Amino acid sequence: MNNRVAKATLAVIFIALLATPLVLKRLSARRAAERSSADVKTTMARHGFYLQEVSQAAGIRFIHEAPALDPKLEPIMPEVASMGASVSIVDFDRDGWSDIYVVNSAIGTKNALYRNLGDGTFKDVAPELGVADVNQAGTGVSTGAVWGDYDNDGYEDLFLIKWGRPELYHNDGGHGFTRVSEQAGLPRWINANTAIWFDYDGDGLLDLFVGGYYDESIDLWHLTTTRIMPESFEYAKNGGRKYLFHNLGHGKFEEVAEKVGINSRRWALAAAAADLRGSGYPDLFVANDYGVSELYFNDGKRFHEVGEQTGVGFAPKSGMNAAFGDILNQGRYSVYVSNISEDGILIQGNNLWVPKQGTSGDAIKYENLARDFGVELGGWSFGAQFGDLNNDGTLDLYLTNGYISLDRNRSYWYDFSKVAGGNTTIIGDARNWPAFEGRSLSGYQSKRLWLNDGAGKFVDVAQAVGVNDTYDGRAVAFADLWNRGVLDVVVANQKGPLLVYKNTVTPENEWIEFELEGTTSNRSAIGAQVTLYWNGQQQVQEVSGGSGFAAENQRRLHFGLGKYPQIEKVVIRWPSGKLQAIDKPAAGQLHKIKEPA
Amino acid sequence: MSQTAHLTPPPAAPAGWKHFVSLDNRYIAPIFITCILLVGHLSFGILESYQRTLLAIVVSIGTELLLGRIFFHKWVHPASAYISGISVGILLRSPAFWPYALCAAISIMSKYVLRIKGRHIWNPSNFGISAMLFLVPETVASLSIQWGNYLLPMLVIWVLGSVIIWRLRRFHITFTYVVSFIAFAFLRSWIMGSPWQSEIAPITGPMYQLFIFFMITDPKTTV
Repeated sequence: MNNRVAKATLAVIFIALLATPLVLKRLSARRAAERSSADVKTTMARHGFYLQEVSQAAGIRFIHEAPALDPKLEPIMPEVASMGASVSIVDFDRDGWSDIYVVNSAIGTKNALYRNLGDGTFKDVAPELGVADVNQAGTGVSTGAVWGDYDNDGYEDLFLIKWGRPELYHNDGGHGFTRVSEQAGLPRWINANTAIWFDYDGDGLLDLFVGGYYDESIDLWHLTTTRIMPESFEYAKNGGRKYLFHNLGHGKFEEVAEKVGINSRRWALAAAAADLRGSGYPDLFVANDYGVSELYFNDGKRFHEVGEQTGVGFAPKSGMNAAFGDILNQGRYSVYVSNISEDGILIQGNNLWVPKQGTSGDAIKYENLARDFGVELGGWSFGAQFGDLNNDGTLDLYLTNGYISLDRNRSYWYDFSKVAGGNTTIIGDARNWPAFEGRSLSGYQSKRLWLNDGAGKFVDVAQAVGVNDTYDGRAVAFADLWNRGVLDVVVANQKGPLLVYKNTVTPENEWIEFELEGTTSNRSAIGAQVTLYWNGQQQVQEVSGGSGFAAENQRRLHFGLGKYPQIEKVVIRWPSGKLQAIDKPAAGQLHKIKEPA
Repeated sequence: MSQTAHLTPPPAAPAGWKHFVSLDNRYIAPIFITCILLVGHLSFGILESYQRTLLAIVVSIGTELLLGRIFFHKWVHPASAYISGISVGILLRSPAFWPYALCAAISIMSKYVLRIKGRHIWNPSNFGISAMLFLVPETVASLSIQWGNYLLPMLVIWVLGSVIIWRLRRFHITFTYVVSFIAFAFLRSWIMGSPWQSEIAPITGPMYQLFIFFMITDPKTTV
């Protein structure tokens, strides 16, 4: 009898255990539904902001086109041609209004430079300025763009990232651009998806890092072999090489990657630089597809790869984003790396690398707190950026996602995972991959906009605040497009439209912005650290020369302050090492600051 | 994967020097799978983390000991539960901790609940992982891509796995499965028009190797 009771009890417990996940799921879905069902008024009261997609009204009608590569790749063309959409923000003519540069990726298509007219609209001036027709046959196509004033003449110059011939365009006083790729010493061909401007040696001249994806010997339009795929889906080291172009001045660059310790052939997709140790030199973070991320400590002369040592380079995933943010207002950067999550098939989870308590300097270590903070699952994630979207004083996180949206009812996942788990001789050859035949692969995904509560929790409010698109998102960039003291969001979609989300923030939450200009340091002030102290807390931000995935935010730094801010001071550490403190800067203003002599 | 709950006494230990070189069959699979785990993790970092795998092992053994005590009135040998736990640790992928504990508990409980003629009918960890994939696909996935996709680790596992399975007198199951898989792979390739390499790709990966050597050969109801 006792045994029977025990058996019955066990069966009940067994069924209860099986039911537990379903109950948890139901509760979670109910909470999410409550968050997304509010109207604008309620949304403003609850979250302090909402977003409206206004690209058409702003005169922006840009549709990205994907490349058509060698016909040998036709069966899996949607996959091999799945990247290229990119957006970068620049005030190319120094009129005080942020402009938008967006690239196209099919042979013969045009890139666009949307000049901000200051009246709420934009006009494409790329054709007349000479930076539109840059995807000509034989030269490859654009996959991104980063802006930096490499000759310190006050105007931001353009580096065009390509699967093809990389290009450097000199900005001629905001009136036009001159192609200077050969004079600069750029190589004939790179298949890259990421590049950043940074002054790695602190000499006041911007240097350029370029991360290769496909091997640079491959012309994707004229293949001699179909063995171009990664040798493994988690341990691939047969990608493109890395380049570090050291700026020699007078428009000349010397490639020094190997000489200074950067030798990787992993498949780089995203890079970002920031001084993570307080050394005065920017460290370099590289997120790699098909493998581990790499973190390079920089001592100003050499780079040392410390991925395993610091904890960020051990578990291999599909790194597609690198963005820094002081998410806890502690004066320290966390790093956000996006990966792949597909229900029941592949749950890599995105990484939020937060500095471990008690570690700093060369001994700094990171732990992945993405799950604890609630920013782990974002589908097939791509570009993400940190920024205070509701001006409450904490950095929020916007993530775009979605890989290939074709037939909604047929998925390529079965074939994908079948091959991806196989031997390298099978994976590495594109001929062995089953044809796509119009199927989707993690397509039509909902975006994420995680609001930071400042205490270690992020809550997704994307649907509630108006982010309802399901395009295949790639790049995200933040800018105060209309000089209103709020961050607007621009999103580039693969084979989709460029979206401009105009932000409306509750006026109760205040803000402050800083626009820096280097004198001894590089004029773009890339690498300058600004620490704002207010209401007994601090937040650090760094002027960046590219972050996220194939994206660059506005150059100026934006801080939300919350209600009734009492600003104590702002401290600027210029790339030259100079420290500058300003007491009680006024809120609600853009402060233009020049590096003191 | 697991061995069946060992309710019969182990074979008598060999005498003399053979005692030291001959290994009780119960320990072969646990040792082998532990080696796979350590080599895989130290060379390629295959685990989500040691802590998650350890959690699965502890919950698995704990559940086994408790239920064995209640239903069989004895302390059941933990080798079987150890394999189930370590299998959950390797094959389940989740950034969270709780799925490892839940999956391990479901796996072991299934041995005691789902029985026919006194024998459990499904491989415990196989059942547990399938249940998790069905119930919480947004939180878990199964191991899909590991060991660097290179030939050498695959050959090592195939050779050692074959020897061990041969010794456990289950090789015919593995052999039949492999031959059938390849035959059906070519048949599917012919019907679907897809490259045959893509159809046989799964069996060249480590996930299938674990499945072939340890899951389909267990429990004894398969023999």
